[in-house]
Amino acid sequence: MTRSGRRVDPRAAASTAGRWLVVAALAYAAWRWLLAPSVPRVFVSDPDAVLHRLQLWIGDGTLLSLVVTTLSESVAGFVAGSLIAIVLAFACGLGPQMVGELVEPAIASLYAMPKFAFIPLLYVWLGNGFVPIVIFVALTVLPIVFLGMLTGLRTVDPLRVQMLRLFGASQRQVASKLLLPHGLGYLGTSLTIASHNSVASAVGAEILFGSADGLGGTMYRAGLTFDTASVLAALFAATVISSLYIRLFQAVSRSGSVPPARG
Amino acid sequence: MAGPARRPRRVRVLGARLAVLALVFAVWQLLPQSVLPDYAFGRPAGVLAALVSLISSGTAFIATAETLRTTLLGILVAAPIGILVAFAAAAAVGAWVIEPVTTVLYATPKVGLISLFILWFGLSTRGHFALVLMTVGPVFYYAARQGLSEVDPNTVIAFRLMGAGRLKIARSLVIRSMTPNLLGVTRLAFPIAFGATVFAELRVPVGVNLGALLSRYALALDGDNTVAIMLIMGVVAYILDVAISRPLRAYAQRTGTGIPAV
Repeated sequence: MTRSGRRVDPRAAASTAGRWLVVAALAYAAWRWLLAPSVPRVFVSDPDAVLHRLQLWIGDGTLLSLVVTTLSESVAGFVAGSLIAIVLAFACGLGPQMVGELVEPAIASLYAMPKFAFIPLLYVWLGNGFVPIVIFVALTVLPIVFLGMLTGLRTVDPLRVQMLRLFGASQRQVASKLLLPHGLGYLGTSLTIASHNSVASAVGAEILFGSADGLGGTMYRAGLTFDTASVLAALFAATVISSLYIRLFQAVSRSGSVPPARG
Repeated sequence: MAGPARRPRRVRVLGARLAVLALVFAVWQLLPQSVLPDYAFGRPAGVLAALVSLISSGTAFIATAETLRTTLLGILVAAPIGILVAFAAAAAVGAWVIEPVTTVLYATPKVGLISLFILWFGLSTRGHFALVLMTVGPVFYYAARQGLSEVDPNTVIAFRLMGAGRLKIARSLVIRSMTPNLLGVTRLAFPIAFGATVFAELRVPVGVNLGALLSRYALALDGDNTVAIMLIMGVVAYILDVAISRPLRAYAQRTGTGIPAV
């Protein structure tokens, strides 16, 4: 039994693992013996070359350095963006109505805006480096978490609020006993979505900034030198990080600490 | 009854919003170069002049049309592909192979594919289109897959017992089940596709489109035009959202279908 109370069927888990292995083997075979020989190496590199590159990167510590760079940018941006979003959502959801009337349209506009458009501005203003990428990731995370949290705070059954008030609960008690636990479910869902976005944003920002480091920076530089194996190896590493992020937040959402959003 | 009571409140909100906007413009105009450099942010008066120039010369319309063309084309091609793959994945054998592939594709930061597309297609707009396709395709796939999974198997059996053919089942059950999801995801797909197009245009700044213009103006340290293009992008994104969500909401009300995210 898991912490969330879901029973894990070992046979089903083994079957899923087996299926993934077979599909991976099929993909490798198709790539190795069908695709690679018929396409120039510049366009699609040999899968063995990609594996060899990953092996080299693991051996000399390059992979760890690249992953740490991208991960630190995405985590820092994710944490900063989420914290600001949560504070703003609380201010809009629980504070005076006018605060929401002023802040919400601004965040909604930010949500609709193609976020990558901020990169040239950040580049010209702050140059290339850790800080502008973190600011960019925070900008992409902020509206997702804000809108999720605010929806959570605003979708509480008004009858429940009324009932608590009838029993003499103060505004603070209504917030801590009802609004906050309800909002946390939505927060978990929005954090899961934002976490995936934060990795993609960090990789995208590194590519557009032309960074010298990080997985996106490696994709950018390897692309310039027609090094397809490195592009694919970095893309593979980014996919693994992104999957782990998604799994982590899904697990947190499912666990008792953050109940999953309903409805 | 509620009209006169609500009007002063609406006026107050509008007044507060305009006041905040005016304050932002004033701060933006008056802050010193050391805090808000002209080459990055321009100044409100300069941005306004740049906007007027971009609109009167027609450049804004040409660039917007080019960006929207890539966005729409990407969605029009990605949607049927995503739906077809979802149908293939609904079959037992298809699901066995396709699901792991789509799970990996979902986790892949799609923006990373641009480096491959540059190698494959060179510095051309085909790379823009390919990125939109790869970004939006999975969105439609998951929506269609969700719709298919919501078809009640018992109802399918009941339809079969009553002699309904495959076409009848598809029309009466499957398509009806998928429609709300697909319409709902269409609203989500547009900003995603628009974002992917802008990213691709920024990375491969060829042609006259919003991303390429933004890239050129930023590199030329022309803050007024950079911010003007960003404002145009914001307005286009807003208009796209309204233009898509309104008919979808009307459709949801007319048919009584609960369209998610509308």
